[in-house]
Amino acid sequence: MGVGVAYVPDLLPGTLELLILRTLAGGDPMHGYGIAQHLKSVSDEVLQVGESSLYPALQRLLLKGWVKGAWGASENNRRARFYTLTAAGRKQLAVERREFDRLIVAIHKVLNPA
Amino acid sequence: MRDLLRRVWYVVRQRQFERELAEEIEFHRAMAQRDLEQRGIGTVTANHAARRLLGNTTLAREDSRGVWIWPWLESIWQDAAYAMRNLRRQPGFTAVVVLVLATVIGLHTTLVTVIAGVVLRPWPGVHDAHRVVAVYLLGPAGRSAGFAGGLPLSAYRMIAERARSLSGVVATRAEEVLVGTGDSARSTESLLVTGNFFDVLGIGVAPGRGLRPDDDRPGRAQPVAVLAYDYWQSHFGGDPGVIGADIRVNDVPFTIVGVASRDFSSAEPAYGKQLFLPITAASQWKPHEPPITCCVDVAGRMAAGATREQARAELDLLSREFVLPDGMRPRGVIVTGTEFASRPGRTDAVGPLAAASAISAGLLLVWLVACANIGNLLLARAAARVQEIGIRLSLGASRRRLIRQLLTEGLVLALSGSTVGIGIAYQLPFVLLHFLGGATAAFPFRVEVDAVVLGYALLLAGVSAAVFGLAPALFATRTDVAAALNEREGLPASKFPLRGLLLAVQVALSVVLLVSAGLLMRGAQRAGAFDPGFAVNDVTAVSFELPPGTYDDARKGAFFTDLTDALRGLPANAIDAFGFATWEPTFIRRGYQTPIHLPDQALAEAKMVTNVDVSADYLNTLRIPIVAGRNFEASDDARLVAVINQAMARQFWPNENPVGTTFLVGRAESREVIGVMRDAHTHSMERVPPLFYQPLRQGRVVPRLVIRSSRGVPSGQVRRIVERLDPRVRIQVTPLSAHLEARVAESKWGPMLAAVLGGFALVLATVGMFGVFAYAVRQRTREIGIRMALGAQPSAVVRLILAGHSRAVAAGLVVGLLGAVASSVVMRSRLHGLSPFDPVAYLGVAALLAAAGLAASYLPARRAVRVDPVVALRYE
Repeated sequence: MGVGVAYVPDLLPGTLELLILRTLAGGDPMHGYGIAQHLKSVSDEVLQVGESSLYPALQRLLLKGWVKGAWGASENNRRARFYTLTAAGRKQLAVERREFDRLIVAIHKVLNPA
Repeated sequence: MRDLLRRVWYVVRQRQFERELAEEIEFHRAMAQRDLEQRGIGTVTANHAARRLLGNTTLAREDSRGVWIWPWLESIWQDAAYAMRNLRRQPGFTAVVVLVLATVIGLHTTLVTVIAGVVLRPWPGVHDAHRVVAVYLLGPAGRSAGFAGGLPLSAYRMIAERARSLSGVVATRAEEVLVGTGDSARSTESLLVTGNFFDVLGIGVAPGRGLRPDDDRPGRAQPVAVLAYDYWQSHFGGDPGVIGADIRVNDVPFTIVGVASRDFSSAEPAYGKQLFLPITAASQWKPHEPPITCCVDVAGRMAAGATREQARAELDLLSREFVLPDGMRPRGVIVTGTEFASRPGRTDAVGPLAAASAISAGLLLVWLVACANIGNLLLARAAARVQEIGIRLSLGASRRRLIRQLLTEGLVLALSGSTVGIGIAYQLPFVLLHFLGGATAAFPFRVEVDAVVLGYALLLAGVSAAVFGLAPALFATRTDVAAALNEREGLPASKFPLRGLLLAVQVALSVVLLVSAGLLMRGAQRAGAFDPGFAVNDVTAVSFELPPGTYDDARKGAFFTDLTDALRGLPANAIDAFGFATWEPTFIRRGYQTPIHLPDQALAEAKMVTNVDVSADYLNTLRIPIVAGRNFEASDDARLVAVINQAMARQFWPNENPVGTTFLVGRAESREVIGVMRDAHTHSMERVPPLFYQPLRQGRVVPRLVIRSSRGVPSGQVRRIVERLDPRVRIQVTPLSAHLEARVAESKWGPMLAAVLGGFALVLATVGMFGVFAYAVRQRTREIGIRMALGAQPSAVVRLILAGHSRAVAAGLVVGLLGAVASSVVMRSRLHGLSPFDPVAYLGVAALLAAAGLAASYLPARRAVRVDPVVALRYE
């Protein structure tokens, strides 16, 4: 994979939000870039999220009240917005995970008919 | 709901949101670039690469922003469009609702327009009016607004010379002058102003110039005049060539130097005034009299950087050196803005603002009736749409979305209504002003529809939509989907107790308004027929206009002595009695107000009491009986004695005989009480205020003549006598009954307005009842058909239809009557002694409502008994 190629996989709608929620579930505040890096490294560079999908998703989460943002200093001492999960977000993560698992099982069943 | 709040927050703080988002994305880019650099790529390349890697930043920002606003706007637009389609399909319903709302919102907005235009705005036509303040004295006897008519001229001079917080100070004084010569001379309202008046206030003058400080140098006063704009238009045809022309003011030629701006003519001091003259001009036509020393209204412009509080503190200190005409000293000053409402006393319980709030309360009640009415109409519609709503719910529409949609419909209705209403508000004040004509002289109007008023109309629309839209929306969407789809004809009435509730609210509010209107009308009727406690019908007052400049005190005294002799010389039966007084009875508090206290009381406890100077025969002329002590005698003329009324006796000497005691006027002058007269309504239509009479001293003031004659007004004889004494003296003859009629006519305004509001509420409530009954009939057509087929009597059918809602009407009546009792107790002071439980008013309202109920139920009942069983059963 060459430098400069942004690979944005076709995710199911809402999946990116689920992934962000899960990323933040660790409890540490993370900024947008950190979230993107985390998704990239954990997924072995499969999930490379560009900012044109990452930031709208973060705004949606802010709007729903599932994450909240606070400004702080980054590791290289720049101002950055750090996101944390809210209580509502934690609940939502649980709900969405269950839904997602059900969906995956369903898809799996379709792909591998008994 | 929280979503909505966050969105609103976003809109409010949009700039910051944008900035933060941009910064965040820039940070992201910088981090990506740093990572690339660390992998050993050159800065420039890394920068480009980072940009490419991240894609289009603008798009990212647009998309992020879109999360907040776009879908929301889009769905609102959808709702609005859907609501419009729906409303267009029922033009009749829409027209009625819009009309009702437009009327109510229009009326209320008109009121706000007038209040905002009149009461809350500083003087118009004045440069930077917010920096202009008005100065009032705190009288020695409490918070008294126009103590002795204003400030002594000496106090004004002191302020003008020494106040640092004011960059300019002006003084004004209203004065009636005669303009013209001979028979064409007309009494004209003028404003005497200091020479700096136009400069300090920054009043526009075109054509010509304003008055200048040079114009009122004491001793070298210039006979110059500035015309008011309206006077220029009406008397000089707006001719710019009028500058330099002469007019005769009190028989002295004055040169016209300018015309004041039109805007300024509705500022309070200039309102109704036609001429502006230098304050020293009086010396032109009163060369024999000392120049004016009292009293003037004072206004000033605050110096740069000075605050109102600084001005108040400074003037307060200065005011300790003021000496009032009666030798007393003020307790301090009040410094206010120039708004109508800020003048002390205007916000009192009997002031114009209280009247405005009473009207406002009435309008608010009508508005509530209208909302209840529209709520009921919407409910009926919602019930008819149960099926549609059921289908939409079953197709997966969320209840919240449907509620929002129904609310949007209400909002569209309310906004259409308030748009028309704003149009009404824009025109109505002018129509009203035109209609009221001269009755508004005391009310400096300048009416504009501005942002405040528009905002108020929109707010009213929003609240209306919530009030009448929310309940129906909640009820309509609460339906059980399966039941809704099965029902052909909505739900039975009993499932909608809300309809009854709304009906009851309408009836109750109408009753409150109608009873209030009825009581006020009865009160006014009573005021017209009330017993004033003195002779009114046979009594005539004559006021004199002496030729200016030629009468000094001695000559004035001689004139009235001659007049008295001539009147005495009339044939015995021509007039029954006559007397002189500084003011004839006008049924309003008119005359001097003097601080009064008893010798053993401190000066600070003094209370303001009205007093009138009268000749010895005055009380006899008015047939006011003495209940204790004695009346004035001719020999009292030079003595310090007083006759007080019972109200004053009660206030100052409770449980004591005041005859023979003394009281103090102002600082030290004492008066001996020689008699107590019966209370008479000479100075008020309602409660009789404390009042004392003292002997009129000849000379100095020009008194009015009061004549009692049972054989008609002897105006011809009086005119002839005056003509013989001095043909230049003009007289004006006014029967006291004319004053009374004017007061009665004034006191009818409130009741009339209340009656209009009450009538409006009644019509609304009647329409509301009609709607509910008609709906009940339509809803139960099938049931009625079955009953008729089974042989039910028409009367039983009618009872069946009306029974369901008559309980609501009855409940509304009871609540309304209780509310009416409460409101009438509040209004007691305006009822002229009428009992708040006046049976005529209550029975009248009951009759009105019965008629309205009958009218509302007649058509539906007739439709019910004409139901053809066959058709009804086939209705399915």
